[in-house]
Amino acid sequence: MGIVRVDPSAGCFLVRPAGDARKSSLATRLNRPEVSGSQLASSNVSSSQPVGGNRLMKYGGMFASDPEWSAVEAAIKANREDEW
Amino acid sequence: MNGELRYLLDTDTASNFLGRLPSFPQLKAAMDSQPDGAVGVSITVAEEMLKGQIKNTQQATRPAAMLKFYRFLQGTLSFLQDMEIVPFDQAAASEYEAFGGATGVGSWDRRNAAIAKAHGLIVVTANSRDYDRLPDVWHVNWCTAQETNS
Repeated sequence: MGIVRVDPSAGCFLVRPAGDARKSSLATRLNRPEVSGSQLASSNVSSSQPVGGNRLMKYGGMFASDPEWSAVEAAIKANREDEW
Repeated sequence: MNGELRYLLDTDTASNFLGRLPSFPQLKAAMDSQPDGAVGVSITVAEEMLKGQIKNTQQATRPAAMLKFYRFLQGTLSFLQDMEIVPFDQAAASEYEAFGGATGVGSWDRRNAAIAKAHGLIVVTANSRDYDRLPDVWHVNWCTAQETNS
């Protein structure tokens, strides 16, 4: 069982794998204190909250109206299956 | 780039971001809350995304399909060019070797995890089941509201 931490910038949970020897360095870098379950529940970001934005957002959903995007997903999946 | 690179998008999440964002409001909120430069991809995820797209362009026989798939490829290239692409370097190769081959996790995920681990980055993935099997790899799921470690 790993340790679950909240990732407030993302509004969801960050999973630290069990036995992570680098806890201190990465935890410090992330500045993510462990929180209680109730804090976790209240920290989730909803899509209606104000957000900062960044330049990648202009690509967000750029192909969402195109049903043929599923063909891209299928091709990626097929390539993965070839891996095995 | 204004922010320090912190997150690496896995292929599934990058694909959802480009093609299915309205279905993942949590992903939209998480991405939108990051400063420029905080989110990137590994070279292996870039490779995997481009391989899938190129497979479609190669197999297209109708002009309408070519038009579609080249538009996807062009957009994906622009997306990748606008973020940091983290290399599979010697440190990543060492991490990959340390994982070994008996993890039950596919090579693509192990490569991506090795890069993340070597560079102290967090993988953003919906595939927590496989990443849980790899030691000391931090990961988070932005495609659902909550994530637990099985």
